[in-house]
Amino acid sequence: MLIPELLHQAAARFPDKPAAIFPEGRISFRELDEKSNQVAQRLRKLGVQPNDRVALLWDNALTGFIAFWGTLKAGAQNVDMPGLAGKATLEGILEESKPKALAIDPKLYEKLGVDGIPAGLPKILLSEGNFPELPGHQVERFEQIFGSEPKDRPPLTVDRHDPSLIVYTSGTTGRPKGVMLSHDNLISNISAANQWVGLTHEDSILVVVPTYFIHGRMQILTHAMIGGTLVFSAGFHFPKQVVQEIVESGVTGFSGVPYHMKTLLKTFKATKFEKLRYVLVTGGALSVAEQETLQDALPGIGLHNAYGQTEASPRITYLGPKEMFVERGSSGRPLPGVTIDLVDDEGNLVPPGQPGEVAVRGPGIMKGYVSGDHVETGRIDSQGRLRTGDLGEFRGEYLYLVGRKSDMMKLAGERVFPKEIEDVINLHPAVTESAVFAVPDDRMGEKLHAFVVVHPGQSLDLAELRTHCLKHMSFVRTPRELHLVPALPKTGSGKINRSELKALLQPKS
Amino acid sequence: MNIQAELINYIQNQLAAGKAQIGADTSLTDVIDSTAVMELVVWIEDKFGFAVELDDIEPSHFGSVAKLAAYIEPRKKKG
Repeated sequence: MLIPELLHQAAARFPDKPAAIFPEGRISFRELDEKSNQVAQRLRKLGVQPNDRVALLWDNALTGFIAFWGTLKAGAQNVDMPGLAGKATLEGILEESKPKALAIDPKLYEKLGVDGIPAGLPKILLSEGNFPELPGHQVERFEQIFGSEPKDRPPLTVDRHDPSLIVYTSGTTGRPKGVMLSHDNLISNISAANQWVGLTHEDSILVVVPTYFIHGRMQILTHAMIGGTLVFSAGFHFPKQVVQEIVESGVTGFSGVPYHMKTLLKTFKATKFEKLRYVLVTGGALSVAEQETLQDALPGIGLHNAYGQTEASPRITYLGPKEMFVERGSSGRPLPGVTIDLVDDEGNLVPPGQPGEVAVRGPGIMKGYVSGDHVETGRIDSQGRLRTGDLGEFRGEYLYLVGRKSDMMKLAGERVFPKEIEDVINLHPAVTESAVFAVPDDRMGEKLHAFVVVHPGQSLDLAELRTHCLKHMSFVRTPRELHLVPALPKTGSGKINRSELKALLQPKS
Repeated sequence: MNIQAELINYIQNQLAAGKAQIGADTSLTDVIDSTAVMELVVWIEDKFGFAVELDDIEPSHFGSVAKLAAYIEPRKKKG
């Protein structure tokens, strides 16, 4: 099965049902099917061939949602661009993935095009409203596409093993990695996820996460498979408003990262839910005490937990409501077809009962990175396993995560490696080098500290450095605390000694 | 510095640098991430000496700098 077929099926079964409800309007499955066909028809006419790439830079909004499906209907690979990233990151994604076309939100072009036409911008642009005409570029407007293109779908000639989505996620090398997920990768994961949570066409979900990350894409795809309705939140800025949206829309599901759950906890507790039947926590784990508090705030509502990585399409293990308070603190059992080895640095199995790195095989493991270095970087090992960088142990069939092998950090559910942030800090002309690491934080999961060394004889105002960081990356990636130091401690091999830096922050006894 | 000017200075430089210029009526949800709202709450509590109720974090109070200043003014104990 191919991903676009999920939408054809839903449109055939539930033509008049809302596929999605956005603050600015709703769209039925039939209308979504037809409009995305029109986008696909136009892309084909513009020369987009099956397995070409079409990038998408759009906030959660109706037109971007149609564009996403249109790209897939054309047989092209959808490249998700993180709207909150800085201009340099977005340009890097365009240059690496080389999309044939870009569907772009006019609002986001104000940021991307602030200093002139960005590097790597494809010739073909799809947008709407007040998007400017750009010299050397062909701007196709959705208003015109919807008014003129035929509504039948173009023939689809891709293979189920071809990449379908390319999702960018943080990479150890300092540049975001484009994860290529095939139709097969995703279908296997969506089917398993829907089965485990027990989703049916009567389910619906409030979407608060950006859809350019895999968490958001999963909500779109799982609900397309069942013919369920997506209700898009106006945003996560106001907790009370989000809970009101859950109640007023009558959704049966809500999915978020631990940060979302902690932020909503008090309002959850004060609210009576008539329709909400399940809450799925992903992108990190709540502690057992936090799970208990959340369950107390949501009596009778099933709590689910999923562990995964984008590179695994993304779910690896799953823990359901019946197991949550039995296998306390577990990440759950592997999804059907997924096997987990616990391995040492050389990839050998660790002795039973000992913790090891979680190495995953299964139908969801990515095709590879766009950059092609998934083997070279060790993310996919010689046996074809995804090396997660997480340390785990098994108790019976349940996986328990006990630590991390890599420097990976979790910021409000987003996986980030220090080098990406250090590279931004080091761009500042006064900075020689820097080291970033995370310490636990009650609200955000982890909080970033940066230790910074400036060039000899130079001074640096930390407020200015913070402004520099905010210009180049999202707020959540900007270190909360900046420290100037004369030098960074190094290990014998010349690597930054992060544990020594962390020790500097420990209260002196 | 009045409350509006202090808010603009803080939001512009600490939460939303690199974004469009912020005025009294700019929609805050357009210029700061959702994760920055709680940081703004912590700053207000510290700067103006009162506790922001969770139920008060809503568009009528946090929708713009002007609305936020009007919310802070009768509640502030310092600053």
